[in-house]
Amino acid sequence: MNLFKNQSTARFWSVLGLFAALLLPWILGYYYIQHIRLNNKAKEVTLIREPSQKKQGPDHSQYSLLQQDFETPEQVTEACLYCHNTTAQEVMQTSHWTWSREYVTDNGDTIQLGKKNILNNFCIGIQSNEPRCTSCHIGYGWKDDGFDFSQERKIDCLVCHDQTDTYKKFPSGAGYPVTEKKTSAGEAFLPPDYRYIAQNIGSPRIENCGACHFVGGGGNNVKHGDIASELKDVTRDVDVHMADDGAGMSCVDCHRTEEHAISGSLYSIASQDTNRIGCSGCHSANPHPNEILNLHSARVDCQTCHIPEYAKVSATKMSWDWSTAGKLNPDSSMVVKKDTMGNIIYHSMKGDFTWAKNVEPEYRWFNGIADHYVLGDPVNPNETLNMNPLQGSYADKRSKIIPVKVHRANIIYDVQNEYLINPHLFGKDSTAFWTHFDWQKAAKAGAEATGLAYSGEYGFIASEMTWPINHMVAPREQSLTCIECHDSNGRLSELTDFYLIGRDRHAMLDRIGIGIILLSLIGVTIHSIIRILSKSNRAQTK
Amino acid sequence: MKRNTYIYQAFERFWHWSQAALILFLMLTGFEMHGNYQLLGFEAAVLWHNLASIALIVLIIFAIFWHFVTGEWRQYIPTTRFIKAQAAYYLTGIFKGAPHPTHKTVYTKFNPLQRLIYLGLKTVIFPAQIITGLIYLSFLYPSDIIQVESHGTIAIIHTFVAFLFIAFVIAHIYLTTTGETPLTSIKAMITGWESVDVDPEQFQKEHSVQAVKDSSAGYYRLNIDGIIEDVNDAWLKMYRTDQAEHYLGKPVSITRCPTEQAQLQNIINQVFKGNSVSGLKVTRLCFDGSKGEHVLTANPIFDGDSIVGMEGFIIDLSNPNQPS
Repeated sequence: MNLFKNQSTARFWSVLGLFAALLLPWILGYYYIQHIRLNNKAKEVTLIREPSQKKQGPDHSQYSLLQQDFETPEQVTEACLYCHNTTAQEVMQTSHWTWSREYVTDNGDTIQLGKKNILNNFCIGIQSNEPRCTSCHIGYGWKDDGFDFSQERKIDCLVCHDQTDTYKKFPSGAGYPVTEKKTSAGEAFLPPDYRYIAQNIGSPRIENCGACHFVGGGGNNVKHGDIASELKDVTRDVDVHMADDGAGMSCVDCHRTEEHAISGSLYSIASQDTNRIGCSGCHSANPHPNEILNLHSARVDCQTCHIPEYAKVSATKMSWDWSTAGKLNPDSSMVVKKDTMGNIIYHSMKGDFTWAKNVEPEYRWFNGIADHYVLGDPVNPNETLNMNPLQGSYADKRSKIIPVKVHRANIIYDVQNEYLINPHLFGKDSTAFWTHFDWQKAAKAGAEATGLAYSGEYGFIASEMTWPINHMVAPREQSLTCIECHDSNGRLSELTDFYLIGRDRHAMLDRIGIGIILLSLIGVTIHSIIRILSKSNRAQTK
Repeated sequence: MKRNTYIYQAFERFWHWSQAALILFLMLTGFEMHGNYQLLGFEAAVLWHNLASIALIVLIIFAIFWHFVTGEWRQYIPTTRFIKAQAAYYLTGIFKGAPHPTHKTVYTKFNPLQRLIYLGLKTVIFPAQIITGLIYLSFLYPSDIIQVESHGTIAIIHTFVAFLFIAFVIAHIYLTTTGETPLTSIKAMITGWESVDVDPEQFQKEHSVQAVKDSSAGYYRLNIDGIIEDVNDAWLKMYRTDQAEHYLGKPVSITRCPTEQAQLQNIINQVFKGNSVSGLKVTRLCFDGSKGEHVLTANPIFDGDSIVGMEGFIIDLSNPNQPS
């Protein structure tokens, strides 16, 4: 029994063993986290469905039917329909043609609601302003409320199928191209060479969709923020999908189309949880090596982290104050002010704007259903009017967090009747605001066009409109990190209906907890001071 | 009476320090997740926190097992005895240099206040923290069994208990300084050895046994049949061997030349009659055949009233190296 003799050696080894046993798990843990978990980032994107291959269609230049000099665009349509003899029926079912969909109102009625009669807080509504707004309709001649939606020959095939980039609808032409050379806002418009265009048609390219969708609101990127002309030629930094150095995809790779019905909907107009497309159409449900990130997808849409900002190249309109419109220079010419980037910040026709680039989205719960302001709905002038409230909440398990652009605007309303007015803005007649700058006349004419009474007193109400952000997906290394939401000043600071770790705390219990810690610190400090003092006292008395 | 004693087993120390490190680390990562500071980064903090929590749970399962297998769980049975005295000691006595009111022994490692606090820690604080933590994880990993509707309340409880842990750690570390010297307790928790109170009788017994073992006088014990039952190292050395098997179980007569057998028998007879022999000089027959001289003592061994054997010591006279 040598325990006592070798006690100190034995102790040394036992303590060393203890430290080794204590340290080993930490070394293993460090290795696991640093070299396995944290480095285990997705290196490649796993797709469950590849982008569709471009189909090589027949060579239309060989068809004798197209060897003619078309005089009107309607003649081109007739030629198309000669072979594609069921296509008109398909097209006329789509909302691209009807500008209308079924909508269930708050009181349960099903009505027809769409671009043709909905209000937004940009140029408000198309009724009485048709020739300008319907320049983006896939038809010819919707110049007033008398347009006949059953005329097959009025379908505009070319705006979507032109491959020559020479076909352009005139901005105020009710959907028609020009018949003689015209200019609008400095841009020249020439009569199209229908023969050339008809012989060179094909599947829609980014340019075709963008002809209307990039310029919603009357200019590049005004409305959407995430859909702009730069998508025709961008780098991965702007949009990993559409960039040439990225996936090189075009719109219809995701917005797949059957019988001319294009998938996908935007809730500036759409209301139902149908016909939506999402990342999961191509991407797997569990794309992240970090399982906790995959679990986020139950309540957080991919876009939330993967679109950290929008309007990355050109600015988008963030706010609009219609109430200041109508100021003219002393010589009665229109006032136009631009910011240093060239964005118009005041225009006599429209009022004051603000623009922004590289915008951080706002965030909303969304379950796929949106309400809409319907003409005649009451408004509360003391509250900001939400034009298209997105439904959803934390408690609603179908809801996910999505990024949105919010466009805020002061728009005209009838003060006594307390509803919005669809003002008559465009036209050469005696009441159009953009010609005469008289709100009374514009309000009266616009109200009449929509079948509403006008009290004679107008005002401006604050409104906001929510635009879900789905495009301009960033490369993975730019996606949001945890702390950008899990923080008291994080991006989700406005979604307060749930507990978010890192952001939320029970202030009272936190204070009590800190109090307990302080008390124990004070306690041990006082106790140790008394101990030290009393000890030295005792030493002295000895 | 105090004696340096091996009071904390190896597993106990491993458990204590692992648990301490894990708890401190969980605090560090947990309060980063709570948003109090940025250190590892949120993602790393979450990964580390989850990993460390699993490690802690595994450790605690082992510790529970250890407590029951060793019976150490009894150390935590609460008692009210001396609890006032213990409280009074910390409040006043400690300042006057008064002795600890309770004694630390291997069997009662904890004073009554420690028992209460540690019991509360083990039965309330730890379970609360582990259960809320697991429920929070099951919010992340929902199953058919556990579906968490509002994890906010869970998170708030988890956070509050974390504050209590910090307060405990502060008090705990401070109280380690109230041992004999400020570092005594921490040293004990590292090495396992601490000077603690022992039962004097118990100590005496253990010490005597050790004294015989380590003595440089040879010790022997025979049974009633004259068979050698026990010898110590010094005895074997005098008989020039280190193998106890050469003698154990053999008759004692092999330790003498034929000419000395009568004397040996005489001694045995004397002792088995109840007498003691001392200071008798004899000649032994060593294992290698050589001879040596030593002085012996011999006493009877009693079991109740009857003699069951004989034992005694021998001191060598022939070794020139021994001081005279």
